[in-house]
Amino acid sequence: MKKPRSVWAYLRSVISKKAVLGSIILLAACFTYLRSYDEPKSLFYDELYYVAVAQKYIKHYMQFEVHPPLGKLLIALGEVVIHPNKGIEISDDTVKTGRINGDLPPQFTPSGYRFFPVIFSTLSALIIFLIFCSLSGNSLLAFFFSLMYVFDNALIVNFRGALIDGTLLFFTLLSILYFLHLYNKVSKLGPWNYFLLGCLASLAICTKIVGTILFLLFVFLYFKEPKLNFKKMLSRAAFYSLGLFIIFFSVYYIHVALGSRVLPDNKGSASPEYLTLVSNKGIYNPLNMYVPIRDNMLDMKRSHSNMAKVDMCNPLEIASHPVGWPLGIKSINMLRESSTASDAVKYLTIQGNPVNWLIGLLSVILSICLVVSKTVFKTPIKNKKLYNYILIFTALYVGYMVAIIWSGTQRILYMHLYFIPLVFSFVLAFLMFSYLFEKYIVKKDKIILVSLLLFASLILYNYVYFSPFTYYKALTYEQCMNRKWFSFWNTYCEK
Amino acid sequence: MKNKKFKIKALFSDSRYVLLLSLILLSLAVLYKTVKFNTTVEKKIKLTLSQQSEAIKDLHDERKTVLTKVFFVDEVDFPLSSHAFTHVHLKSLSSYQFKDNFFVDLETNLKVIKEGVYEFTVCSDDGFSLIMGDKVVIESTGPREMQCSTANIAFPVTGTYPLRIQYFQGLGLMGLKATYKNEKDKRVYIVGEDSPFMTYSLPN
Repeated sequence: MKKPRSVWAYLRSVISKKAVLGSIILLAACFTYLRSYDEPKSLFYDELYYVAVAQKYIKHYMQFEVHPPLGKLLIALGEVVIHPNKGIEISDDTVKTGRINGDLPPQFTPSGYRFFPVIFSTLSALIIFLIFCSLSGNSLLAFFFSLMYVFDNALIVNFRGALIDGTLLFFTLLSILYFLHLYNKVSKLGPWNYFLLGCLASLAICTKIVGTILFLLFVFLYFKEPKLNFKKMLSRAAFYSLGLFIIFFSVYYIHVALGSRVLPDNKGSASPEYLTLVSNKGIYNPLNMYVPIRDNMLDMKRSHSNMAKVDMCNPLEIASHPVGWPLGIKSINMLRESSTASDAVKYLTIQGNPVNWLIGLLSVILSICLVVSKTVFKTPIKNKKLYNYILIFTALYVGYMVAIIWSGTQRILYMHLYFIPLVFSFVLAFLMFSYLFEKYIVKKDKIILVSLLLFASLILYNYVYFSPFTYYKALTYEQCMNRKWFSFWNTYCEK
Repeated sequence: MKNKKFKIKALFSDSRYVLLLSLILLSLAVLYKTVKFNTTVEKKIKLTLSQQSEAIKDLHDERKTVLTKVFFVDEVDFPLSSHAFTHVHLKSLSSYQFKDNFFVDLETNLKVIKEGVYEFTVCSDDGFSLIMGDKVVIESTGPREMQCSTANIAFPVTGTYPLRIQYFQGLGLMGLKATYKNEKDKRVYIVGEDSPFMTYSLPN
């Protein structure tokens, strides 16, 4: 007689370990990123700019922006979809300078504007988990290392706002996930795979120009493919470019088409031809897109070149040089509020989880050492597949940092630009761990498991310790100063 | 012995133990940064917390103490707090007791080095009384929000004077801070903080 299966055995047969661990990561990300994301009610940091831009989209005003439009279009879309401010009038004067001027109505809530950035940031946790699974196939290890993203205080603060870095990271991770999928089945690739990779990369680039680092993925895939004849090479490059172009064009078409009105005395960088297109409704014709896109590109170039440079001699300067970012130089206080009833002050501060940042930095150093020793000294490698991944992510990290350090000589930069390479450093931490302890991981060694549990506890402990900075909770001066572990962090505490 | 040395060497040659040891060291560093172990301060002021069995309405209410706790602190600086009576250096002095309706008695010896007139200021939530020797110098005995009271005290000769501060916490926020300054000097010192004008020591 056949023995009946228990419910537990049945569930185990239909639900994989990967699905369970992925769900836990997603739930944890909902707790850290999504929970009460409408707090604080006041706009902070660049939200003052992005909400003004979104408001202009909603009111159909033509505008020029320093960043590509996709991130801000999504911020506006959240407000349109959720419309929590229905019936609240935001005047043109409040938004006309490209930054919120004056007070918003007291009933105003930012939940609509923050909706898509926070949803994308939450989903990024799941994508990181899937990337780790794709890199090693070990879902338990992927689970532990995904905690670095889920419980990083700096990422949470920034990504819960109506800002564009969370959206950028989401599209970046999505591109990487698809790239890894293609990289693992490289012998069966066709031009349409390159087309889709181009589309995904373009989504990131259309959010923020630093997304151009994803061109490297195309290069890695291109040279991974065996025996490509010239015709095939050309078709792949063409399809990739087509993907890039279609998304780029569509995003800018929406951006231009939403600007059917001109704010009085606010023509920005619009050329007379562009203004004529606006007045005669020519902006809706895709064939007329050349002039608006050209004007937008020129304005973007001008805005970047006109930006101030970092003033290191100013003690109140919140901008910083990219070289210091991996060490947490400098934290940014985005919002604070004193209370008359207590000497405690609420802070919203970009302050990373030091355990994550330290392990990320050590992993980058180790990865560079490994790549250099293999390249220069021909050191034998244990696992070629893992080594190739390490090489790719080291190149992404170093490539991004070199580009941004160069950019730092041209214009002012802020620490939140480090978030993309920070996540690359988390991936490198995962890869270096897998590479160094491969044989023990396979054996499910207990010391390794204890180490992973200790690692997870450290991340959680530090997340909780720094969470008042993350969720706008009140701290006394002394409590705030206790969290300023190093003077070079420049953590702001109000006396 | 030789065997033991060999084992330690083997321990460090195993990457798993190096990893575990590194994480333990990192955990200790994090604990050192986040938890204040054995926080000690110079013992200059005796502080007695007395939990009252009933609601306190005035500093001169009859004391019906159910529990006392003694601490030694260096300065009279207890920042305003909603949940615990907290010393600026020692952190919370309250556990599950001493949240509401308790008295605080602070005693110290003040040694005047330079005679002259000194301005004493006491900020408190709720009431307090500052007593020099047997004489009440300033007081506000009823409940109040954080407010400051100031008085000038003349010390015609140098010498040691006993100083007491009585304070009570009724309900709500709690906090106490006492400062002094010489009439000819701009700098304000916290009571308990030594200066070129006066020093503080624990009463015998």
